Amino acid sequence: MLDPFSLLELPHTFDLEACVLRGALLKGSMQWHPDRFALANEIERAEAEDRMAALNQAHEKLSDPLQRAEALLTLHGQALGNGTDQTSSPMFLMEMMEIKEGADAALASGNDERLAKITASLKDNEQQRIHAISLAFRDWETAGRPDDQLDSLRGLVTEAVYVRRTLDGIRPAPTH
Amino acid sequence: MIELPILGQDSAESTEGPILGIDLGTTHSLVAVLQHGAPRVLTGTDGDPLIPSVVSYPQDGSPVIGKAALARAGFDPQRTIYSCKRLIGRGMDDLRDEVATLPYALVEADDREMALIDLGDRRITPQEVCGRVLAACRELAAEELKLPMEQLTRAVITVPAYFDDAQRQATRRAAKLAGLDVLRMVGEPTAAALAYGLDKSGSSRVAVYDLGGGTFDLSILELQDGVFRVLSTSGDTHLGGDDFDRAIMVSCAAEIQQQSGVDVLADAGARAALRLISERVKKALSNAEETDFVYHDPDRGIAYRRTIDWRTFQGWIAPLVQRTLDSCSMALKDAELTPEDIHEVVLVGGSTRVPLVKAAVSQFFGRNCHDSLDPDTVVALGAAIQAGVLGGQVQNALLLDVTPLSLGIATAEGTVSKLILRNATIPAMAKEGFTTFVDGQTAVKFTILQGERELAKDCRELGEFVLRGIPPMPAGLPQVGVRFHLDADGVLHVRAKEERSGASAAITVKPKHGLTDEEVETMLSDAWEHAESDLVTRQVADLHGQLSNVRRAVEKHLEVARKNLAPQELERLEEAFEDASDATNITEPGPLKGILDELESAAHPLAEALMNHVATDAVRDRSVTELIDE
Repeated sequence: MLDPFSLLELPHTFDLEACVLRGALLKGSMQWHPDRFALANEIERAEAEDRMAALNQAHEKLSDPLQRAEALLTLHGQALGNGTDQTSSPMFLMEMMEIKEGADAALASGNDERLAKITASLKDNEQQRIHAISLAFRDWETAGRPDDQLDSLRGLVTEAVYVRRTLDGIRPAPTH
Repeated sequence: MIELPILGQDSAESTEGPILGIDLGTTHSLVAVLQHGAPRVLTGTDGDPLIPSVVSYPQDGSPVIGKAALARAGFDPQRTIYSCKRLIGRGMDDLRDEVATLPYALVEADDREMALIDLGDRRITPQEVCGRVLAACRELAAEELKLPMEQLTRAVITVPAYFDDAQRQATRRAAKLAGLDVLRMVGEPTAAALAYGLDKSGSSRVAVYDLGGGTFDLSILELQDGVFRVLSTSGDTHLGGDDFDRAIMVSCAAEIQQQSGVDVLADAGARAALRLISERVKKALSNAEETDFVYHDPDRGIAYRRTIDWRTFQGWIAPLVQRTLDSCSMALKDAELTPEDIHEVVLVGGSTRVPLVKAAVSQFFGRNCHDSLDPDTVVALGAAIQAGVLGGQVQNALLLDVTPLSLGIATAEGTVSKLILRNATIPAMAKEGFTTFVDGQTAVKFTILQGERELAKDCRELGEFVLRGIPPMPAGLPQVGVRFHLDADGVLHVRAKEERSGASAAITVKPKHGLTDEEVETMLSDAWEHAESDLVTRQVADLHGQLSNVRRAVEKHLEVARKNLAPQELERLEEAFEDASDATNITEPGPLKGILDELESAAHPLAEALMNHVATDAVRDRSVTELIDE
């Protein structure tokens, strides 16, 4: 299975503009979309289906800076595990836990205003981290991708992913 | 100049006719093909491309389809099935609102939540009804293209963008009943965009507002160098022009009940009649300030007449139109756009002829809407272009569609684990790991869901399957990988595998709201008797058309007739006119022809009377209709 960059015939770099990504997807689609194989045999049709689905998935993944960073780390043997990471500081984890508790309490008491505030601040947090990640990856690439920076990059991405999960974990109470 | 040897025709090409582009509509269907690089809608002998999506099942005899079926709606309402597209792939729960206003009966299938149509002596599936309509499309194409039916076996069928998996699968199986292999299902708004934008270059963002008879869709597309990429889609499979009719019908029926004490909606025949009157009122109000709603039923002492002006009508439908605008907002939000980001707005579907709809959409997007193509035929034209893309005749266009609804699996906690998110470009794939809950558990049941809600019970259940043969292990240890593949038609394929043991599930998801492939095969092999020969159907439709033309002409000049005709001439004309008015139910060509001939002949004196006003020479040898139509 090819990595998402190779699938879309893109260089292994963090610096990918949305229009470059879109162009790569359109080019791949022109070649691999099942519509181009409508009259082909079943095996070719199935291959086109799989290939195009993989292209769409790769595009989706690389369009998100956080997942793009994750994909680059995976390429350098630094795949992110599930859950927390030893590299995360206890301070950070405690901060996240407090935020989560605050959100749960706001949810339980129906304090929408408080909940909106927490969500907005988490979103802001996520954006700032993504910005920092972008800068860090650019510097790393400029420096010739030294291996000794991978640990710190991985730490940055892990924490940003954790912030995003916390954000996703705050769901409005189910309505009936 | 180098001369190339002429290659022999590809054998596949010579035995296969063109791929049909079919717009299977709620109220009517159309078929189009690509000819010499341009899409063309095929018409019947009467020049009308619209095939009413209606099938009537006479007590004895074969089913009749299209115009002839429509003509039976008034006197055989329980066996004349319209709006089958609203029922396809649906369960009784989905159709609760519908049941009360449909003149025919619905029941639930015994073994699954699929709605069936109860004809009294037997039950039929909505797939069977839609299949008949698709078969009629195929027959019309065979006749028009002068090709044998065997050469027309492949089709592109358009479906509302908002159709879910069950509805898409059911549509595919309906086509199979009609002998059609669906090469691709395309969203209706997307097809319309294709029809509008084939020769456009550069890049732009387009919103397609599609309000048909029974469904509403809004899609936002990005056009770039021939690639039509859907950014987001939103809609309502239960909102359309039929609901405008119903709004009129319900308001007037309530007034009738107030005035006469009769609950007219309780009677299936009256319901069918009121529906037709309501539809006529709606159409009239597209061009006129006001029109009359007239309903007489002397047997029950009902003589109802009400003038409806467009303001009243707008008041009735405003909440419905607002619902479409809410969907527009949602589609824009999903695409992270504002109305100002949209460069062009395209109107599709007959219901966009209603002035309030047009005005509301223009206002919402802050720009004029494109409506240069006939909203009735634009989707079929797009389907034909897509057929050309698949067939290789159209090289410079490609459609990238999205799934309208998220897909996921129910978790033990009753929530949904979403694998493929709404508005993901299709084909799409996703994988997710699950594990067991109990020690030694050897089987895991999966419930597949489609929808946006957080809780499993609020989403639509597509089906379930069981992965068996997991070796006994402590709870939480097995790793079950579930792989979703959503194909280019928006139809889901699921695979599951236990990673440690390699046990994989041979899964066939039994559709909860439709037929399985095997059931379709069985229906094909034994139950699908052939419909009434299309020739008769067409003849009857033609005769009805002619008859209504003559009737209209006579009606227009009735005053002249009363003043100028001898008493016995007038009496004969009035009698013939009355017979003709009562003839809408007749489906036999013979008697119909008799009535038509009698009316034409009885109208001769009238034509002569009219002739006194014009030069005799100029009108000799012209038909009565031609003459009095002037």
